[in-house]
Amino acid sequence: MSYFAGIDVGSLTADAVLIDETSNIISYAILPTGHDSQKAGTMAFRTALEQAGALEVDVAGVVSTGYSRGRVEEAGNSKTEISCHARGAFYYFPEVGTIIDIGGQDSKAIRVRPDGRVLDFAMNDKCAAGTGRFLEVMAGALNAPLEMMGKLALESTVEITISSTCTVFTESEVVSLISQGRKPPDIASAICRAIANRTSGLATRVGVADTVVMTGGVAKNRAVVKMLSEKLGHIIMVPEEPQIIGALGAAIIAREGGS
Amino acid sequence: MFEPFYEVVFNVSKNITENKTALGRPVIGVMPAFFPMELIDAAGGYPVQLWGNNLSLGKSDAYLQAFSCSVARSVLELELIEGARMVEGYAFTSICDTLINLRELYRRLFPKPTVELSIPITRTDEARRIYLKSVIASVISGLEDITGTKVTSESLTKASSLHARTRELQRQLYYIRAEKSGLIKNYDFYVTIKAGFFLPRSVYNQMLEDLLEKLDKLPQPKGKRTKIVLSGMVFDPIEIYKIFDDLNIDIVDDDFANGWRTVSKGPLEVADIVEGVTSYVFNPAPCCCLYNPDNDRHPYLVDKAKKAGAEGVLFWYIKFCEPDAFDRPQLIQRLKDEGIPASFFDVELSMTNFDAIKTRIDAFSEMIKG
Ligand SMILES: Nc1ncnc2c1ncn2[C@@H]1O[C@H](COP(=O)(O)OP(=O)(O)OP(=O)(O)O)[C@@H](O)[C@H]1O
Ligand code: SF4
Ligand SMILES: [Mg+2]
Repeated sequence: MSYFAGIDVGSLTADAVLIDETSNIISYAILPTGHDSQKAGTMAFRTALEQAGALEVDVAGVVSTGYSRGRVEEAGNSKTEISCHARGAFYYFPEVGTIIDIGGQDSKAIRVRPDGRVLDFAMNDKCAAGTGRFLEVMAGALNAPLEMMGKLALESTVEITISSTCTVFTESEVVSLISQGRKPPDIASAICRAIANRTSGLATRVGVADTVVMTGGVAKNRAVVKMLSEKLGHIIMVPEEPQIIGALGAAIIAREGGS
Repeated sequence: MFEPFYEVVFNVSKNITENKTALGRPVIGVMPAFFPMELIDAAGGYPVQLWGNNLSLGKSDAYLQAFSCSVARSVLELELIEGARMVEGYAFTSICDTLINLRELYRRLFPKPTVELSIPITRTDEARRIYLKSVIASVISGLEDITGTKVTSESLTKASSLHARTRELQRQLYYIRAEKSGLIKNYDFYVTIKAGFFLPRSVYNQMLEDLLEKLDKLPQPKGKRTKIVLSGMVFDPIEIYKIFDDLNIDIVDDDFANGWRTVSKGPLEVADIVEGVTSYVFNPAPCCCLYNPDNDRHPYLVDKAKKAGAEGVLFWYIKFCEPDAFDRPQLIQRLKDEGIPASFFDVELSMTNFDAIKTRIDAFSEMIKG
């Protein structure tokens, strides 16, 4: 039995996915990228191998992706996150038309063709506004665990609007909302809405197709998904583990011969 | 083959200073873009295009807002840190608000004399002629004051043919690049064009002739490569061409203000200098900085991409360049409507990290390869 691997070393997490010859997911790992992106990629790969009880020699092909795709020693080839998220999302939802990937430091909207290939894309890589990093800083300001932000936001009863999408300004705005005695669920909701608003503009740039899929770590935040879905007027599908979709796409590309 | 051009581009001050001594002519810095440098040569000056440096910005922050383009900010920085001591005067073209302001700043901040070619919006009526006539007269007398030499019809004719020859040779280089795609590395190509910013025409023309002779004999390399066209104002930072080279992408043509939009210009007609300058500035390529309803950029770019056999068009956007930003969304849409993939990335001349740009270019190339 030979396996194929995809390693996605992003700005915040290094993810690895192992698949078999028929593209079944065998194992995966999500680790923090930290300061040494090369090591993080290797660690994620090894962790996925261990979980599958496999050895590196069992792996017939490795493709890397993500911000540090060029620094993954194990990979025979590399592809951008754009192509890999498209491939990975297509695997789960073959009818996908538009993909929204919000990661740690950038957000991307990808328009795909009926065969899963990229038709167009738009990126926001200028600042942290509207990204996972933004959400982390705001969770910190609210003193709430990141994983709870979505749940908290969905408990909101009063709508507040945050005026800025800039991370620095929003953080001080959140602090002042707290001191005004505003409720954490309402503030969390405002933060998630700011992300949804910003991302919807990006999605509109490439065109919103009937089937919209959201990938990347921020897709785990149910409130962002719900608000974005309302804003776009479309149902948004989220794969079981959205954070590994880039690595999954890379693994599938490896299985198909690496290019 | 390209070493002599590298030597110039990576030792700009040294080269200008040496040439200045050899020529015995005052150096006049030319601001982007379309200033007819023929006028400077005809007045006995030595024109150099000093913009496109990658200085980190510090002193210029005191005079230009952070939302001014890095082209203007970096060239001002150069003067403020006294990095342009060999330059004796400056020639501006009023192609955008930033440059109009920049000229005013130079007038107030520095003792060096400046001239400004202000371009009228209307190109057709008599008022334009009268206006431009006085502008050109003041530009010429301003240049004569700097150099101490009068412009004559002989000196104009001579300068016109020298500069026309440069552009003709540069066009040949563009044609070779298009016909033998892959033969000239993107990085080498733009270093070669950029070297022309700093060299006297006679020296540069000879270097180009030698290069073209060598290139002529070489065959086109084999192998499938991706062909694209670039559009933008200024083709810096040139580091980015290494990304294209690494990804096996060939830029087969461009629409840069300091690239093809300038290189494509014919000889400056000197018999009637007012008509000559007007025609020089507005022809043949359209530009986001020139109002010219008869020369629409939309069909122009579509046609350019098709003729070049390009698989896509990338817009190289100098952040905060307003004229370019205004045109871009419609141009991208038009190209897409014609089935030509198009996208953009933004740059600042002072940038040092190109990872995000690499991802964009790489993703664009993956997209067009399918
Ligand atoms: N359980 C969770 N609930 C909510 N959000 C989460 C959760 N886990 C991760 N995130 C969000 O996901 C982000 C990281 O996403 P991801 O791993 O896709 O980024 P990345 O690929 O490293 O970044 P990039 O693609 O920008 O380089 C974090 O910043 C965080 O906001
Ligand atoms: S890059 Fe744009 S804004 Fe800057 S000087 Fe050139 S035309 Fe003006
Ligand atoms: Mg990612």
